[in-house]
Amino acid sequence: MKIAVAEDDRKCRADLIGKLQQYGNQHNIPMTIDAYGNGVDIAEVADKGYDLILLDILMPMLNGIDAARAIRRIDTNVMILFITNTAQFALQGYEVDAIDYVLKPISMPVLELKMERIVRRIEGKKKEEATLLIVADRQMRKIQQKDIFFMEVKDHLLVYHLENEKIHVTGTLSDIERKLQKNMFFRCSRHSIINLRHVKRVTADAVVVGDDSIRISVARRKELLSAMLDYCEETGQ
Amino acid sequence: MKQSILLSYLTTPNFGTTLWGAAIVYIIPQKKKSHPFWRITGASLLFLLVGFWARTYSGLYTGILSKNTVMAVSVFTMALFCCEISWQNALLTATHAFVAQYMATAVAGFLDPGSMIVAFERVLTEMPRANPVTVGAFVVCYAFCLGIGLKTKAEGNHIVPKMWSIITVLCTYFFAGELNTQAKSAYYLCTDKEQALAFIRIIYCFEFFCSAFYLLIQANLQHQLQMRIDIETEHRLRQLQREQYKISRKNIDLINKRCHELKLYIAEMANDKSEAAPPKQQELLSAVQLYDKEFHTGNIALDTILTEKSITFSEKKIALTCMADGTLVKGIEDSDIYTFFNDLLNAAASVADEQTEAAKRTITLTISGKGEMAYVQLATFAAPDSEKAYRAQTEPIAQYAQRLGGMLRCSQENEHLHITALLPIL
Repeated sequence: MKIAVAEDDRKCRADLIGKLQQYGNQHNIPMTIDAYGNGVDIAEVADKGYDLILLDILMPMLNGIDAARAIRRIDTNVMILFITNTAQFALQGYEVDAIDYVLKPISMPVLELKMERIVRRIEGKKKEEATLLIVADRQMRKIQQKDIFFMEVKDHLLVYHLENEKIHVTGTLSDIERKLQKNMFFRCSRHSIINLRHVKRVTADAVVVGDDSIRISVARRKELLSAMLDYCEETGQ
Repeated sequence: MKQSILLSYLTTPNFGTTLWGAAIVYIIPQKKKSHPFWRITGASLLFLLVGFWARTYSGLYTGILSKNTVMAVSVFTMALFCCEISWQNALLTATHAFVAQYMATAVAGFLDPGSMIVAFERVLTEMPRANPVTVGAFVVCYAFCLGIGLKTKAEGNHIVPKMWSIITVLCTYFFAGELNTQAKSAYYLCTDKEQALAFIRIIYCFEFFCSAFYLLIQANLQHQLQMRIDIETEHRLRQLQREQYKISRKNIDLINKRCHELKLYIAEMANDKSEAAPPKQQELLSAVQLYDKEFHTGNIALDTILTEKSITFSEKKIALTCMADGTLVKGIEDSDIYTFFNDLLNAAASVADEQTEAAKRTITLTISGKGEMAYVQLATFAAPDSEKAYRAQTEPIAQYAQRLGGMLRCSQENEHLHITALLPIL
């Protein structure tokens, strides 16, 4: 796991890095931790492909919130965890899609609580990178599973609904279901499988995926909400 | 109570045949979605024909009925009543069928007035054979049941309590059944012993189903009453919470105002050298800061509950960290937001309060968006392997989330308790 810590207080920074390493050792998670002393430095290296950035909110030159905004312009996937003395500042965190914030002084149990969620999300995000090989119009195509909105059986053909495209192939939903990432897709009925990533809302008898509405039974609705909670816990989306 | 009394009367053996009508009418609406008037009228007419056929040509009541037919009738009736019957539908149709039955009798009598007169004469002459004790007991029981019904009404309830319902049914079953069996035996001229026995079996079968039907309707009424009480309680509770929310909002505004004034006062004191010593000022400042915890999430109801809980939790030495986009829940009514998060945070606080280690007395709440839904996450520390207890504790909140069209779930990993919820943004 690639982590960056941006904290102007040296003592606090060393303490935090120590605790992160301790967490990594306890849970067998290999970690590389880079330390930065201000917001400008971290914003400049935001393209290094970090999994997690811990940002102090009150820093000289560029505060944590502004640094996070700069980071988001470069990397929309990295997880940001704020470190702060006061809770009020951290409430702005959702504006920059931060995962959470932690109050100083940071205790090991609290850090563990936050890290547990972060690690799960990093694993969940990696799962989303999975691809799927399909044969359409006698050509092999590789599509990212996260790009599929939903799949349905129509006129004896399997239809993949992507954002601006529909791909018609032969095959069965059951065969495809086995190749899909678990917890990312949900079988609404015998005729359709939806991608939980693209679910907009769930009404009393339908689920809205992208701009399409797919009917769902009352019993399956409950299972769908449960699957969505699993998905949200994994990816935070 | 009207329904109860009506049902008490309907459960006399005469009502037995009306069950067929009710059953027929119950089946018809399942298949055809026509107007209720036509459904009921059609079913009544159908029942009229069945009744007419039964009484005049089939020999159903003249003793030509085989044992197997009786069994088949019983099983079929039982199967019909094993289906879930909406009590309103059943009651309405039963009433229609009840009328239809008498119409069928009248038609039969009209077609063959001679036999009707003979039958009535026989009933009148045979009736004295009924045991006066049975008749007396029957009358007393009905008077008693009616009294219970009136008493129940006087007490402001709508239905007869379950225990009295059972007593009513039992009384009907034993006494009215006995009385009617004798009367009907006479009426249908069952002189043959075997015929009379078969007939008695039919009547007792009907009696049994009438009783079951009566209890079913009573149970439905009881359930509906309970639901009504629950809804009224919930309305009252929501009203109280709405008022509580308004009071909380006012209090928070007042606290903020006072807090601001005190901070200014402390700043003035700091400038004045003759005033209290700096350490005292710091103490005073930190005491004031305890109340300077107003949240700004973009939703006034969420801000109110978070600010209120933050102050309450501070006193309990529980740290509340929250990162929320309040605009995500703007579609939900303020009182619903207040109630949901109040209950959620209270449940979490009761768990966190059990922790002795200061670092573990913490609650983390995040609200983020998932499509057009709000994803709520709450994490705190809990005693290991106590998920079941917490799940039971969060059950009312889960039901509340379900009522809002979402879902709430509680899970535990080691000593981390997670409560997650999905709420639709209406």
